[in-house]
Amino acid sequence: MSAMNENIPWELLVRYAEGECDAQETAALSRRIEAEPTVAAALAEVLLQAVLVRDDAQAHPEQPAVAENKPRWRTTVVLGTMAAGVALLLSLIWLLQNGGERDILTVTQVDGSVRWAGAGGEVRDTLATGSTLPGGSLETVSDDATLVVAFADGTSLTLLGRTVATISDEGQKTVHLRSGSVSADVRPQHPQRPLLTHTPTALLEVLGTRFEVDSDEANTRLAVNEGRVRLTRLMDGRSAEVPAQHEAVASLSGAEMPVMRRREPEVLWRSDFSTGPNGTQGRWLPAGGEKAPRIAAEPVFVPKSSRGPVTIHRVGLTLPWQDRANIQVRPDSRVRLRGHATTSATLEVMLACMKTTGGYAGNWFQQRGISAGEWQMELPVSAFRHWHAQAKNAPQEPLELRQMAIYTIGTDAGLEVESVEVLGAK
Amino acid sequence: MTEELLVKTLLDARPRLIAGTLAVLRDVHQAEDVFQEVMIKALRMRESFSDEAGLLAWARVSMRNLGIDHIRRVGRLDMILSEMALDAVAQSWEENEAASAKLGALRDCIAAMPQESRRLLRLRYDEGRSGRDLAALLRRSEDAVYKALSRLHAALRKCAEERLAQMKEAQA
Repeated sequence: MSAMNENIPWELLVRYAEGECDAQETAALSRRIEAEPTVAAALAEVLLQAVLVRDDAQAHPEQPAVAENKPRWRTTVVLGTMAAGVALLLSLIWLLQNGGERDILTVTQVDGSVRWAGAGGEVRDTLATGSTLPGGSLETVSDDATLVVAFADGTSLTLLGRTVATISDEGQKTVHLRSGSVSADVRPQHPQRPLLTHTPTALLEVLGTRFEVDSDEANTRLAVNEGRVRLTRLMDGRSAEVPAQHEAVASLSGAEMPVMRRREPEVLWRSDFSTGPNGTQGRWLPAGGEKAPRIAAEPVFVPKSSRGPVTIHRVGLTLPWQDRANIQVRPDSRVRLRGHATTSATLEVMLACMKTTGGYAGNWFQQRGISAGEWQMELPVSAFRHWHAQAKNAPQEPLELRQMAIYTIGTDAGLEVESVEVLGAK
Repeated sequence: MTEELLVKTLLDARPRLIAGTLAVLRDVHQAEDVFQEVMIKALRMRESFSDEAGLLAWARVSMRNLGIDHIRRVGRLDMILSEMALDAVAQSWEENEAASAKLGALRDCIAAMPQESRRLLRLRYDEGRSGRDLAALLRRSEDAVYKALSRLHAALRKCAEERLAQMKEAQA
């Protein structure tokens, strides 16, 4: 008898195998399977075929479409063949020797000082592109640090600037973002197992989308580029769906948590340090004497840089915290800076940029000398260089300015920054 | 039980064990993870298994329980089949005397599928894409995707049955 002629509810079985049946449908299917052995056998068939299709795909990959970098332990476990059996045995021995920890992340890009710490206390300060990692704490420890990691399903996370996040995947991807900025490109997740991002103030539930999240101890800012993310404020459980091209801030202030459309990109922008240190790193100084409100540089040790371990004195700005700024820098834009110094020094300026469509674009650098006293400079974006100030590549397309760092290297020049402006073409 | 025999026994039964856990978890990758976990446990408990049947019975129960524990933590127990229904599904594998021949036939049928059909099944079961996701990806309705998947499962079953029949005829 033909399989299709046995009154087998194939579609229902396929939907059950996907987890798409609700409780009522599942109960009805249970009764039917209990009463009809042919339906039980058909579900057994669907499930077995699913496993064999997966095995076939692992044994004969056509192209690395979504899962480009499978963790070693998973890719070795294929198929009831002798070769796979040997590989599996080796893998199991490896797992036993390593306390059962398995790699869940592949490093796809790394720049600057980064660090990984595992659950067993292991710490790695050197992460190479292509290396794999078990779950653990990831840290980007300098302004110019960037770390991009990918899960086996292609979901990628970009840690920017000074960020600390603990990442795990025990059947459900989870990110604990202690502080800093993460940009995420999340592949579709199982509806019952969304990617969870915990911050000190909020919980984000993500089924598949692109978003950026910035967090400190008191605030979480979520900006969604594609798809939709559920944001829940921990303080009072208030939650909101944040759709594409919108943003919301969950803070401890108890203020409303409106979901706002992202501001249109601005090509002209000026900082405002008058109301406090919003989104800045350094020491905020109020207006006094003839001086305007300003940010004074503070020392930061950078253990790994192109110059080796250095101490920099830096002022930082995380732009979205400055009145939700959405700043677009173009190849013909200019950056104007004004401030004070107590001694002459070489100033380096770093722009950390995202693509306008979401996702990390890169860091751009430029150096200028400053004299003691008041200083002002205008830096053409076309003179910024990718990765380090001596590189060749300048920005070729409009980019979203996410973070900025202004610093002296080695020298404490008493640096203070009074204003930052982004200007259009001359 | 020797380590070699334990590993061979579990590997031979691997597709059925994973499929049994899949009935609970509905996620091939997670079911594979559970198989890994049980394999490691089995190696650690090797001395306590006297024969293959005992090992397999223990593995089946352990994997199902691990799956149910996982669902209890992250999902809803009323969204999985009753114990009796899960037993009935497992029973249909046990009753299949030509289990290994059937596995071989199914593997051959999967390998012989038209590329587009195989791609759809791989998107669903290897990449774990949902029907909704596939509908968007392939620009078809969800209904059409589920119908196509259903037809492919039924066709694979038919193909495997025909191959097995041919093998029997050849042997006779």
